[in-house]
Amino acid sequence: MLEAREISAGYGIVPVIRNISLTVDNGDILVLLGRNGVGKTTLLKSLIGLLKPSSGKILIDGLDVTEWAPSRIAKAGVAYVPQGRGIFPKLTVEENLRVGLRGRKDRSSTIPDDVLAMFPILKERMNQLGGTLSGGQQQILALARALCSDPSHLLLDEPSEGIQPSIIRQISELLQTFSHELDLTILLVEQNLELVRTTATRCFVMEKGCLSRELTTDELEDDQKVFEALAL
Amino acid sequence: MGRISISHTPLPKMSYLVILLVIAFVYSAPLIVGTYSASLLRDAMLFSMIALGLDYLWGKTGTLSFGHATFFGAGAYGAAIVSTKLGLDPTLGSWLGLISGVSIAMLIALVVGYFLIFGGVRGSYFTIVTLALAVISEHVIVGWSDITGGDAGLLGIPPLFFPTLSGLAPLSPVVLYWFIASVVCLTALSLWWVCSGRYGLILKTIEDNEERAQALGHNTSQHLLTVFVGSSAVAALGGALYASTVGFVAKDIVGLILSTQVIIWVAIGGRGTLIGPVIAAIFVIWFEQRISSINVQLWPLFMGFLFILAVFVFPNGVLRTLVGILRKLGQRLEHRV
Repeated sequence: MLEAREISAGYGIVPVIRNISLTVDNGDILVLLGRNGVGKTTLLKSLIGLLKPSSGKILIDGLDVTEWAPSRIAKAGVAYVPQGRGIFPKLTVEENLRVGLRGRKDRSSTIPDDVLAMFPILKERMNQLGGTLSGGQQQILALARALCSDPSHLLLDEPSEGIQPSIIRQISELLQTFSHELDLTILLVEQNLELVRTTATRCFVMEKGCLSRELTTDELEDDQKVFEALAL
Repeated sequence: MGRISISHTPLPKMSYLVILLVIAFVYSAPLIVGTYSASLLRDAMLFSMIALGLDYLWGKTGTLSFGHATFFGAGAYGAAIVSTKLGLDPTLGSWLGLISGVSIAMLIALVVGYFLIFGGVRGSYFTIVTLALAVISEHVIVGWSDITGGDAGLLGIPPLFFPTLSGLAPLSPVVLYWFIASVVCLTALSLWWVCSGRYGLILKTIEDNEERAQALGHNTSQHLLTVFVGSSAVAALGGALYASTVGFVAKDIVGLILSTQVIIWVAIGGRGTLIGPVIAAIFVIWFEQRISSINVQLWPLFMGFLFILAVFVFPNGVLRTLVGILRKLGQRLEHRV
């Protein structure tokens, strides 16, 4: 369970998010919808410790991690897939996966077979440089790397950005597998409605640094309601 | 820090051959080129330790230090002061000096590095502060003349004593050369071995994008500090050995000029190859002696020319360019056969 209690954060003196409270329950795929610049990435960065909140608390499974360094939060089981994929282009696929092993609690230094089995496309390209993969493949690699740390929580920042529909469908299936079979608690920041509709168990809309409303899964199916919530 | 497992990717067979040849040449050099040239080579090897240390930092993590001569100087002056000023027996004092020199440099690196790295100072800001460190250390050496000898430097540093059949004695020049060659080779090989495993990957991810490395669970500040202190220790070991080998220290072994030269050695040799900067340092220093013996004023001109050449013709360093050419030749030969 991942919980944010009234957190505010920003860059320097510029506040970006204000008093956000949010709970992602175990087994949930919670989606944050919102237009550009409303603070979605800032919220994710605060949750994983890359940005220290100016006030409020962050709890993982009831444990206060607000003051923890990002590396410690990662080891506590929170994996993060940054916007724009965030793989290491100069490392090979295999090396990218190996550096993802650090967060594991069992300190194993081999890439788990079940992770590889889930991503056949990577298995074929283990020795290729990450930077030479296509955008979609890089995103898949980023997902696989996140799994290498054997996390309990997964935070994703717009995994569909700049990716063709067939791969978005694949990502949607993967996220559902992560949730149902690996019991991952997932927080997804997304703008692609198809991906949101196929994965979300709960959905919040963000506006100007705050959570403005919750959309039920039924409301999500209704274009009119969604556009209204997003003030489009 | 957690346990870091090291598994290694095998090198192409050629590289082992090249490494063996280089080592064989280094060890047989005093017998081939004569004692005087061997002593130049020996000093060049000691200076190359700064390049090795800097490449461990700059080449592996992308963090450029403009003050690495400071640590060489701290090692050398630390060794000189402890072995000459404390009234110790030279047989003991020389070794104690070596250990103190390296420890003092590591302590400086630890304190400076801790505040810089954990304070979030990165990139060019880090470089500028280390540049200031180089300037400060130069002033300390000149200004604190009671201890450091000021402009005159310190003389009479005892050589290292080794147990021999007739009691403790300094090594003969050739054996001393071999001892120093072994220290340099061993340090270079161990750094290379350590960096060729998963640890090297982690450093590469830090160079690539530190935030991502953090989000994957790597304590990047701790890694950077370890590398910074380690790289200073390598430079300081060179400096401390230099003090006991040459017998005197002067202010030209600290400060900005030497720090800048080291950066040029690393750039010419190939950043991140570890062995490249060592070879480049030795070669450039040897070249400097040759050119300067014709005309002292010619050298800065050549140095500038070499640097421009390194930037335009060998942007990846001479070593990588050579390996690339050899590889292409090898492929062509295979095609013909």
